[in-house]
Amino acid sequence: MKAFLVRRIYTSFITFIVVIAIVFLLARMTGDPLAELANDPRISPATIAALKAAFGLDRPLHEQFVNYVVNLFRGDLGYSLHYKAPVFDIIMQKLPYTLALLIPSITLSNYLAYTIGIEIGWRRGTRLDSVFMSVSMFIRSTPYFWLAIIFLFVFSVQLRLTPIFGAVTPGKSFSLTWDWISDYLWHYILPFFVMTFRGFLSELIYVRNVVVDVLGEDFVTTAVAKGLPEKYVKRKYVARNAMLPIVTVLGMRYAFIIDGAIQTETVFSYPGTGRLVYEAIFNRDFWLLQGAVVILTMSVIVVNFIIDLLYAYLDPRVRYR
Amino acid sequence: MRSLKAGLILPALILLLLAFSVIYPAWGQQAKASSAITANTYDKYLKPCSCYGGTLKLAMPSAVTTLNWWVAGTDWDLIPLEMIYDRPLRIINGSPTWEVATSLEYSEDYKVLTMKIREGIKFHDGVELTAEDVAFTINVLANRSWPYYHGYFTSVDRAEAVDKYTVKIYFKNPDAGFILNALPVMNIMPKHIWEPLLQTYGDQLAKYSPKPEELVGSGPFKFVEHVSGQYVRFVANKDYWMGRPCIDELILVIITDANVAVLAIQNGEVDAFLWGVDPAVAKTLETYPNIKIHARLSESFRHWGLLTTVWPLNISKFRLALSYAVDREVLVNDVLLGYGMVGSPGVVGPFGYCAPWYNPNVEKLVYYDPKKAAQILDEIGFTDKNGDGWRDGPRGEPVVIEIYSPTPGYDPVRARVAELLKEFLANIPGGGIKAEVYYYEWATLWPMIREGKVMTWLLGSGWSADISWLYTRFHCPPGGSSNWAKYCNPEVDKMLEELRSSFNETRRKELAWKIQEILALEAPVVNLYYQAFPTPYRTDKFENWFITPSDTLSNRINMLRLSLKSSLCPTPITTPKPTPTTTPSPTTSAAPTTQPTTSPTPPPTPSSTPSPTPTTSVGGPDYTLAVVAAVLVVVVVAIVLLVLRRR
Repeated sequence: MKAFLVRRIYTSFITFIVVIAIVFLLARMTGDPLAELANDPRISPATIAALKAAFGLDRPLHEQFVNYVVNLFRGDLGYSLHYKAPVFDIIMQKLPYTLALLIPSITLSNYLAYTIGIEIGWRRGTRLDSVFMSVSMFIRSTPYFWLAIIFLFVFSVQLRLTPIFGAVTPGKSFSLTWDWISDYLWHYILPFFVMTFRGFLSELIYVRNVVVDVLGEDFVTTAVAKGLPEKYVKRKYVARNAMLPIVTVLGMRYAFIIDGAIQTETVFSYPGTGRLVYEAIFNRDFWLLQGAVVILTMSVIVVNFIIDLLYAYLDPRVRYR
Repeated sequence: MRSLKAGLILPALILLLLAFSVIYPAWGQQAKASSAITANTYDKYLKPCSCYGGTLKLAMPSAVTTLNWWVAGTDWDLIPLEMIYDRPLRIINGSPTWEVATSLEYSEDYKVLTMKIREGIKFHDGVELTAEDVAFTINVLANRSWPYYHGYFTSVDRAEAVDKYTVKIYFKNPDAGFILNALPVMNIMPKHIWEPLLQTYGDQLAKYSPKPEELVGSGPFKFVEHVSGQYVRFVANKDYWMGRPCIDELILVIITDANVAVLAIQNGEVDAFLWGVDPAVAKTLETYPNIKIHARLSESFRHWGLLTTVWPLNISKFRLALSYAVDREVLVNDVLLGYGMVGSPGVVGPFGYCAPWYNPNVEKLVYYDPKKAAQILDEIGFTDKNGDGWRDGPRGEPVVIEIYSPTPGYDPVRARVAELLKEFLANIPGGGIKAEVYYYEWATLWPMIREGKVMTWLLGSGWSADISWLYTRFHCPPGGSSNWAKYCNPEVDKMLEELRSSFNETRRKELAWKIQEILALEAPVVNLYYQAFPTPYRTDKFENWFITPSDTLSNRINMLRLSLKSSLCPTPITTPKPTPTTTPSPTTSAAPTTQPTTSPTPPPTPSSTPSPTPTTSVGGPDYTLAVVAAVLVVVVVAIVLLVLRRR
C-alpha cells in the first residue's frame, strides 16, 4: 500500500507538470491577449507595451514558464489580465457558488441514476424500461441550453414561481439571516432542478446498460438457477458487479465541477467558475485560464485517487501493491 | 444717368456683401482663437423630479472585471465607474457640456491650457474636490503609460494646480484634439486616496483592485457594493452639487444570456438592457406596450478594408469601382433590419462625435451605381477577356477578391455582409468580379489583418471625439498606427498632420471635408454602415428618459433626471426641486456658486436604505409556491423509488 501511494503521488506530480506545460503553451498559441486593444482609438501602442510589462508578457517564453511554475509552488497563481486582480481571489469569489450548486446536484442525480438505473436494467424490455429509456434518450439529446431556457420560460416567466436571473435578488447584500438564505434558495432551486434532472436522465442510460451487461453473465444465471431470492441476486450479484464501471463514470463527474456548469451559469446568470473559465478562454486571459486548469487538474487527480481507493473497498479482488 | 447710377449701386452692394461674407467668418475666428472654449451647460437637459425614490435596475450582459478606473477597459467596467466620478467636460448628444470645469483657455502659443473648476464640489467622503485632484489625475495619465486613456494624454507634459480652483496644463507640443478627446473621458480621481496607493504600488497599480472604501468620487451615485458576477449597487448622492438624482438607488445587474435579458425586460424585472438585442427580437419587443427600443448608433464605422499594397487593390480607381458596386442600403435594411445608418463613403458619420465634421457632399461623389463601377473598370482595362463572365486584369490575369470575415458564430452580421459583397461584385454589369469569402476565427483573423496578410476584411473601428482620429486610421504607417489598409497618400498625410496641429476651427473643418472627399474617391476602405444596437427599456415605471442617437441608456442625463412616474411616487414632492444652478459663467468663475445641496430632503421615507418592500411583496407568494413545488417533486421521486423497491 505504501509503495502504491508513493508511486501514485509520483505519477500524479508528473501528470500535473505535463498538464501545466501543455496548457501554458496552448494558451499562448491562441495569440496575443492584448491584440484587441490595437484597434481601440484610446489605446496607444505605449499602453499596450506597459501592460505587457506589468503582466510579465514581455519576457521570453521559457522565463515566463519557469516563473509561473516557481510561483505556483509558492501558492501564487498570478494576476488575471482581464480582471487585473489575483487569480486565486477571483476563483475563490466564484467557487463557493459552484460547489454549493454542483456537489448536491451531482450527488442527487448520481444517486437517482444508480438506484433507478439498476431497477430498470433489471426490468429490461418492460414498458417501464422503454418509457425511461425514451425519456432519457430524449433529454440526453436535447441541447442543454434549450432545455434550461424552456424551464426558465415555464417556471420563471409564465408561472413566475422562480426568479429569472442571479444567485440572489440584486441588491440583497450577503448576511446569514433567514431573509438572505431563503432568497438564495429561491434562486437556487431552478438551476439545481434543471442540472439534477438532466444529469440524472443522462447517466441513467449508462447505468442501465452496465446492469444489462452484468445480467448476461453466467454467475447471474447460476444464482437465479440456484433459486436465490430475486432481491438478493439484484443486490449482491448484479448491483455489486455493476458498481465498478459506474463508480468510475459517475465519480469523475465530481472532478469536472470547476468547469461543469457553463451553460447553467449562462442561462441563469448564476455566478460560478464555469463561466469564468469560458471567459478566460474567450479573452485569452492566460493566467486565469492556467489557474483554473491547475485547480481542475488537481481535482481530477484527487478524485481519481479516491475512486481507485474505492475500487479496493468495492471489489475484494483489487489489491494495491 | 440716373439709371446708370442705379446700375452701379446694385453690383457694388453685392460686391460689398460678398466681401463681408468672406471676411466675417475669418474675423470671427480670429476673435475666438485665443479666447475661451465654448460648451453647453446642463440646464439644457435637466428636468425636475416628480418625486425622489425608486430603484432603477439596468442589466449588463457581462461581469464587471475591475473597478480600478486607470485600467478599466470594457464598457461594463466603465459604466459603473461613470456613476461614481465626475469629469471636467462631458459629451452629451455629440457636443461638449461643462461639468466640473467652468472655463478653458489656451495661451497664445497653445502650449498652456488653463482650466477653471467649479467650487464647492465634495467627494463622497466629504473632502473637497480641488485643482489638486484634477492635476493629479492628468499627471498620472500623462506620466504613466499603463492607464487605458494614456493615449489621449501623450502630448501633455505636466499639470499644475495654480490655486485651489485653477489648473494649468502644459503641453510638449500643441494638441488640437486634446480638449475633446481627453477631458470628456477623464474621471477626476481623488488625490487623497490614489496618491498614497500610487506611492505604495507604483506601476503595479495596474494590477490593483480598489477596496470599496477607496471607490470614492464626486459623482451622482455613491458606491455601495459589488458582488462579483451578480450586481453593482449604488445609492444616490444626496449632496450632489448639481442637485441629487431623482432615484434613490441604482443597481447594475448582470444577465449573461441575451434571451434571458429580454425575458427579464418583458417581466419588468429590469428597467433596461444596456447591450443590443437581436434585431429580429427588437422588432417584436417594439410591439409591447411598455417597452421601447433605443437604437443606439455605435461611435464607429463598419467597413470593408482593402489592402492597398497588393494588386489590383493598389489601383485607386479599382477600389473606387468596388465602392460604387456596393449597395449600402441593402446592407442596412436586410442585414441590420434597419438598425443602422448607411455609411458615408467619406468614413466620417453624420451623428455623435463626428456630426460637426461630416461632409454631406461626399454622398454625391460616390454612391451605389453598378453601371458607373463597370464604366470605371472598363476604363482601367479590367474587362472580361476570356468570355467566362468574370472580369480579368488588363493583361488577362485572373482577378479574385478574397473577403475575410469572422465566423457566423462570432458575428452573424459581418458573415452575412461578406456574402452580400460577393453578390454585389458578381452583379457588376458587363462581367462581374469574382470574389471568395473566407470565414476565420476572429482571434486568428485579427492579427492577419494587422500584419497585412489578408486582401480585404470586414471590421468595425471606433473613433474619438475630435476629428484628429483620422490621423491614426489613414496616415501612412507607422504614424497611422491603426491604418490597416496601409494606405499612403502624401497629400492626405500633410492634411492629417495639419488637422492635428491647427487650432483654427474653420481651417480644420475645411481639411476634414477635403480629406473625406479624397477618402471617398480613393477608397482605402469601403465604408459600409454605422451599426445601431437596439437596446430595450421600459417606460411604465420611470419617466424622463433622455434618448439621443449615440448616447447609451446609462448616460449621465438619465442618471440625474430619470424619475418614478408620479402615479408610483410614495409621496410627491411638495416643494419643487431646487433648479440646479449650473450656469457656469465661463469667465466669472470666481463667484462661489453655492449649491443648496441639502435643503429639501424628501419626506420621511427611509430612503438611504433600499426599500425592500416591493421585492418581498412580490417574492412572498412565490416562496411558498416554490416550496410547494419542491415538496411535490421530492414526494414524486420518493414514490417512484418506493414503488421500484417494492417490486
